[in-house]
Amino acid sequence: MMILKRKRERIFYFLLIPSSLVVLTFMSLLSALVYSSIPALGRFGLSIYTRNVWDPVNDQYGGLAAIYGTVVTGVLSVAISAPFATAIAVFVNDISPKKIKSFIINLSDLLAAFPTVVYGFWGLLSLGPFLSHTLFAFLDSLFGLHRITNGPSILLASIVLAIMITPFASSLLREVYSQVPKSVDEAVYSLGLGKWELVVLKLSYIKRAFLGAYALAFGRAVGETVAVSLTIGNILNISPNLLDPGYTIPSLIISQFGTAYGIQYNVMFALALFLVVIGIAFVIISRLILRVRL
Amino acid sequence: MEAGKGTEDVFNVHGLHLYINDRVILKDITFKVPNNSVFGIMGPSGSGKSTLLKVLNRLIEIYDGEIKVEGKVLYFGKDVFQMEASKLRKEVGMVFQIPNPFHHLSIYDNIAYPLKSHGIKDKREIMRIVEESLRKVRLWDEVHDRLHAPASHLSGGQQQRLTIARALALRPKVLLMDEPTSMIDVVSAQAIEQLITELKKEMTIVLVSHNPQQVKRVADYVAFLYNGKLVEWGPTEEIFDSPRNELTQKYVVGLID
Ligand SMILES: Nc1ncnc2c1ncn2[C@@H]1O[C@H](COP(=O)(O)OP(=O)(O)O)[C@@H](O)[C@H]1O
Ligand SMILES: [Mg+2]
Repeated sequence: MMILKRKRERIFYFLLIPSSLVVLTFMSLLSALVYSSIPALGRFGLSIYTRNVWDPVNDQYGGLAAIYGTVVTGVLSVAISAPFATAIAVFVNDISPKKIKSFIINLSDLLAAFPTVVYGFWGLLSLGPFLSHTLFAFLDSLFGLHRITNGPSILLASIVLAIMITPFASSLLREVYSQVPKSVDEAVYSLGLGKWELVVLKLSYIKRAFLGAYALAFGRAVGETVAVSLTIGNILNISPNLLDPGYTIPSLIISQFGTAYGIQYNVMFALALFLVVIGIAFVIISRLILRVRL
Repeated sequence: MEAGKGTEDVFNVHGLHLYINDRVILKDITFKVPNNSVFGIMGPSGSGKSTLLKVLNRLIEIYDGEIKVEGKVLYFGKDVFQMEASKLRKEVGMVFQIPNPFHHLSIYDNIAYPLKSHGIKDKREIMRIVEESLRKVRLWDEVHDRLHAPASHLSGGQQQRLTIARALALRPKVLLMDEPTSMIDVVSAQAIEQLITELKKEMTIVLVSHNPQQVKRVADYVAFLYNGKLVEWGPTEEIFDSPRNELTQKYVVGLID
């Protein structure tokens, strides 16, 4: 128990206010979500999460396509980003000259601070059309994945997401990678081994933290709204063709909210709740992974 | 002070000055390490023992500081700074003060991984070397039934013996040991001292020690380092029984440090 005797130290009691606000915010957000979800869950049950239907005329809703899109874009973006983020972490720590290192770190941190709407516009107006003529056309000719848009698709959204989360993920990885003790370098070099072995051993040394960093990055990817809704095409579609447009939960909510009424509102809250649960699960998982000693 | 014939010397260091970031760390160091001997380096902490050791296998180059070397450091007559560092380091193994096995790798992989990286692919050959090396450091009986457990599960003394085994597996001609027993339990420390005297038959050992008594017990030759300078060096009995320098006299009886 903390006993604050001296008078001026009473001010510390006021510090409790911001801290308790954190708790309050969490509680009120969660309870608002749950409260507003209940009517939808009561009426449709879990079919909100297992059916693919969005029919305001007959009041039938199921967000499976958005859940599908959320998971696919989340997994894809992490899969695309991981090699790049890892390469950057290795490069700045063990390969690049000092000057280039700080240049890359600063630039990467700057990219992480860009508003996501910028990524969205850029994805929609520049990257999308470009990829549509190059990579997507190539995938089309290779696997017969036909395109019905000039870019917007699950794959485009995943690539934009990957580009967005890479600075974040690489800064996490950079940090853990740089904390590998120097004694590993000493061991590696004293055995006549080289940089290749050093990098391999360091990466295997941090593999748990690596998973933790990616759990956080995944959480970030699935929660992203604006950039995705601009690039994914916004169609309720469960297609294995990654060049088809789709939806994610946040992009569904943002694009439908303006016109929604009645039970549709509640369905969207129920979907948001699902997203929050995924998010919390990933934060917990990443914490658990990061906590385990290396 | 002439010890051994010129080319038979494992190391021949002459007029060595070492600067790190333009600060002089080692000053005018001259000595020779004869083959198949135990060469002790003693001195107070901060006197430059570790740095001197790391010049011998050029490990000094892996740190951030900028290195400048004057004088010559010959390894079997060849300038170490003209050699390929990885080749030099494979022949000149090193053991550190704080045991540094690859904690996340298994006991087996700690030894097998460097072997594989150096091109030994045959599984049975690798297993043979793993066992042989672990037996040499007397760790085999303690770990043979859990070779695939992580090295981090071993005690400090066991970890240190594992790092020695890891170095020995590459069949080095020289083993540099930087205060190998200062951080571990007494029993392991004794085992390592014992091992040093045995290993001398097949290789040369340069042993840095915080403990003059240890040097006296195991070293054939000893150098006394003080403040980056090599005060004197010679056969162990001479240095301990009839030191020429006053500083050495004080150090060996424990009046410095
Ligand atoms: N990488 C380095 N950068 C700067 N100074 C160093 C570095 N390594 C060692 N030194 C300095 O060199 C001196 C000798 O250090 P060291 O060789 O570790 O001594 P010892 O092993 O005898 O205790 C110390 O003053 C230390 O601060
Ligand atoms: Mg030292």
